[in-house]
Amino acid sequence: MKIYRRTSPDMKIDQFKPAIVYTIYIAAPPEKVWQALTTAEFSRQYFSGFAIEADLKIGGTFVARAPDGSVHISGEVIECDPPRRLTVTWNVNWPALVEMLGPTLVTYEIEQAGDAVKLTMLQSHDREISDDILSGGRAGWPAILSSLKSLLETGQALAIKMAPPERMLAALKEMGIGTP
Amino acid sequence: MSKPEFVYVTYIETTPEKLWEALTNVEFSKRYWFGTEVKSDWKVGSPFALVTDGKTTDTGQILEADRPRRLSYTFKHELYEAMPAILSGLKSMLETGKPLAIPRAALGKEELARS
Repeated sequence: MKIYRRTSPDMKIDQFKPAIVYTIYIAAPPEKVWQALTTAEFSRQYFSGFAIEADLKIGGTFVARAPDGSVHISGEVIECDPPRRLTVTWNVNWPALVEMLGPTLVTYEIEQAGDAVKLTMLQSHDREISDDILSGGRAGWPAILSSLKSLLETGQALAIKMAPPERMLAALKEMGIGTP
Repeated sequence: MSKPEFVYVTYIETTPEKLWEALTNVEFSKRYWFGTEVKSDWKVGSPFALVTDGKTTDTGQILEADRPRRLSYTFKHELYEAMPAILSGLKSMLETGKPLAIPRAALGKEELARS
């Protein structure tokens, strides 16, 4: 397997360790799962109306745009091997968040498993992140990726009503990070 | 109560009652749990068994049974690696009527060693 690595001195991806890993099996071809992860047309349906805009080349921009048009998550493409592996920086645009927590990396691994696909999401950090802060991702990823699976298998995403991630928001506020 | 070591969450388009039925019904479990039957009378304190191809592969006990909200049982083997595949298959079964076509080998080392 070819792995493309960007060798920017400010982004040493070997120093990042996965803090959250979520695996889900989906009855769809790898190309379809890749498309669902990287295009706004699909993401708006399973990701609470957020539009993923990705320039799928190393160093290309990666954005998740909120339904009101604002950029909620911004980053760049670090590894891109369609339809098998994608790593992006996944930085939530809240004041001082990246300064305090460092960058967040998200990697998607797509593997064939029989007639289905094994999708693994890894959220990685270059430092220790508290369970309070990780609680946001631990609650969010299962909802997002369960909905993606439903969309690809049934044509219909899930209508999940999520409570705000209070525990994470309180921990960020405590650190002086601006939250909505 | 021991501390959770592995947590897996998934969201399913179904009702709590249908999900409970899927978790406790032998015929249903065979379809999403790669041929494995879940056997118990689902009463607190009752024995619990996993039976694959007629062989008992694991046993335990029902700890909690609050239909249709919470079910808790013990078993002996570690099934961490297998749970995402089993529960993804359960979700597909309930939403599409079809289980996933994943080979048993995809379940991971623990299941491999036993199959």
